[in-house]
Parts: sequence; C-alpha cells; structure tokens
Amino acid sequence: MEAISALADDELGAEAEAVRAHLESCVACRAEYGSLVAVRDLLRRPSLSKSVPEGFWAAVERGLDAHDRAGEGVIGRLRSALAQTPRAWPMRFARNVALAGAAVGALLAVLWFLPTHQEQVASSTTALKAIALDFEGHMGREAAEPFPYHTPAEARNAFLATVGYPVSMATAPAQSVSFVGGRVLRGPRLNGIELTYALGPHRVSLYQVPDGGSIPVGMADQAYGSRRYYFDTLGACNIVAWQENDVLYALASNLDHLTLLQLARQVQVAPPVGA
Amino acid sequence: LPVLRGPGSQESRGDNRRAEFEALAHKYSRDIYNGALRMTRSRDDAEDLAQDTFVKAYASFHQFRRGTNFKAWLFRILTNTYINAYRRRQRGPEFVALDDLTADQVAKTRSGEGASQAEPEEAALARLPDEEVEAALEELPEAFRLVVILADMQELGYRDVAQALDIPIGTVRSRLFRGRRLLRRRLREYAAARGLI
Repeated sequence: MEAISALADDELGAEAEAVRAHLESCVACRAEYGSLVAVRDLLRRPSLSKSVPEGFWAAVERGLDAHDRAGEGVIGRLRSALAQTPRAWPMRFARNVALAGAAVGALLAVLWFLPTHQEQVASSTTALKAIALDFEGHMGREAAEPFPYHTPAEARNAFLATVGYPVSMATAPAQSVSFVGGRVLRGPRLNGIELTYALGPHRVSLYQVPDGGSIPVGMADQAYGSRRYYFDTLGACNIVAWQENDVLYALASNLDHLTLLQLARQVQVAPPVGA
Repeated sequence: LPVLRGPGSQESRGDNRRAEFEALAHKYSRDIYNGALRMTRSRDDAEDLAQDTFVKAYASFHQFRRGTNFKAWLFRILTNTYINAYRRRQRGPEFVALDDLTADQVAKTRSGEGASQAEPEEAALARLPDEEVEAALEELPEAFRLVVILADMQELGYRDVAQALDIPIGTVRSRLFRGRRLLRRRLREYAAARGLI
C-alpha cells in the first residue's frame, strides 16, 4: 500500500514496474491509488496558496540590511573609534554599544585595528592584531588548562560537554584556514574555549564562550589591572576591545570556523609586522 | 600574530552577494510563506518565521552550493527554524503514537472501499471548500504534517524532504503514505457531513 503512494510520486525506483503491473489487475489497489492521488492533488489546489502579506519582502530587506550593517558594524565602529582622538574613542565605543542591540544574525567580528589615525600608529603597524593570549593573560590565565583536542570535531564535542553551548564549525576542510588547536579556559572572567587557526602564515585565536556566559551580554566596561576593557555584543557574538598604546584590539566570542572562513575571504592578509 | 587589513572592495563584494541572494530568494517568498503558514498555523507566526528564514539563509548563503536545489535548501532552513524556534510556542495537536494511528487507519480504509465508490469519492473531495482542506491538514499530527507540507504542497522530492527533516527516505515515504490516509479519513468525514458522499 505504501508503495502505491510512492508510485504516485514517481519515487518508487526499481519496484515501480511490478507495482504498476499489479495495479492493472487489482481493482482495490487501483482505487487506493486514485484516492491517494486525489488527496495529494487536493493539497495542490492553487487557492490554498496564500499571497504573502503586504510589506513582507520589505521586512526581509530590512533584515538583510541589519545583517549587512552588523557585519560591517564592528569594523566600522572600531574604525570610527580610532578616527577620534585616542582619548575620545572609548566613549564613542561605549555610546555605540546601544546600536549593537539592533544587530541581527550571525556575525563577523575579529581583531581589527585600522590605521585611520596616522600619527597614532607606528609606521609599519597597519592592521589589527589577534592577541588572545594577552587578553587571556589578564582575564583567565591562572586557570587555563592544557587542551587535549586536536581536531575541530573533538573540540566541538569537548566544548559541548564542557559548557553545553553548540559550536558550529566547518565540516569541510578549509582551504585557507586550518584548525591548529585550542585549550579550555576556566577563569573568573573568561570561561570557555580558545581555538587557534592558521590563516596563511598567521595564527588567529578566538574565544568561544557559553552564550551570555563569560563575557556577559551588556557587561559594563571595566578596568582590569592597568587596562580598560570595553564589552559589546552583536547577535550571538560577544566582543571585548581594548586599547594598548596606539593599537586597538578586539576579540570576539562565538565565532565559528565558517564565519572565520567567510571573514578570511573578505580581508586582505598582510605580512606580519617585521616580517 | 596575524595582521589583517580591511579591504576597500568589501562593500562591492557584499553587494554582489546580496544581489545574487535576492535574485534567487525573492521568487520563493510565496512558497516559503505558505510553508511557514502551514507549519505554524498562524499568519503572524508564519510571517515572522518566513522572514527569519530568509535572513538566516542570507547569513549562511556562503554555505549554499551553487547548482543545487535552492528551494530545497530554503525549506531546510525553514524547517530547522520552525522546529528549533517556533514549535515550542505552538498549540494544537501533538504527536500521537504512530502505531495506533496506522493500525486504526488501515483497518478503516480497507473496509468498505471499492472501485465503484472511488470515482464519486474523488469528485466529492474535490468539492470540499478550502477551509475544510486546511482544517484537515491542521489536525494532522506534526510528524505527518511536515512531510505532507513539503512533499505534497511544496512538491519537494523525497530526498529533499528527507534532508530538510533529517530523517531517512524510507521514513518520508511511510509518513507521507500515512499522512495522506489520515487526511483522507478526515476529508471523508467532512464530505459526509456535507452530504457529498
């Protein structure tokens, strides 16, 4: 009987001929076939398909706009922050925190430094740096544990087991970005996992933290040691940024491998300073 | 340490990506909205769900393999979004043990059905108003309803339905069969109430 239903959809494969032959000779099955087709065709009645509500696609467009803005938002905001005088940018950054709440979708964010304020920037320093270790040194090193996992899958499973927050990572091997390793961090401020990727000749370290966890959503800017850290959230991304001498650093949590890949395609990888 | 520089061309690349996405996606807005409508059974939820689906699809558009079935890919995102985010707030009939339904169904449909009745019955069902077809669909337990929405209403192939719901193809086939029989039973009741049968 089930085969009759599949036959009506042309999804029967090798059995189809035999079932068709049976229908020729069996009145009951032929009736069943006709009746199932009638039910199916009833569901395809054109009047059952409703028009989309007015303004539907315009709302989708707004969602896409928000996504586009968010993708550039972190970068744009850090860029404009640096365009201010060095003393002014943190306030600007903090003020813009509110804007982030409107951001939608999965987000790009990384460790950006943009040389818009030339006199503040050492001549060869033209870009952002990933200095996860530095951040961790201030916020979680005392409890860092060795990380015994060596593949994204192992890391993901360990992460799920540790913090229960799903981390999506590419299942296909990355061309330009490869997973190097990571470690579990357990600190008073940073509790999550650090993942390190090779990006060309460079290394990038990212933090994945539990949702709303170690870098809490809406966490106020705070000073640790001699530094002031600025916290922000964009969608599922938690971001912390700080300034050191004339360089602005930002770290993003919840960045997955695919997002990183996407980002890697969008940024130009420059030679490391001094290379 | 990595040294990354922001590209000047990022914006134009983004525009191309968006234009490509919109060109593909826009023509499925009606399908996605209707799929969402049949899943959520609520116009407001359907609108939100369908819009979420497009934004999510855009966010992961880099994962879409060019040349594969875009509609099926969108429906996969729709289904996942519905199951993860929307189903929790749904009211209405929930899962019913499959065995009970089918045993009952098979018994009922095998009795009293003959070739001579088939023709008038099909004509009778075709005369049912949309509202009763919709009601019968809404009453379908979700496991069947999702398969019926994707395969019968949206005309996705079994393989695409299997991927969207993350179930084996054999399960698609059997749920679709059972779903159609459950629908038929309800539709017959409506037809009988109207004196069509």
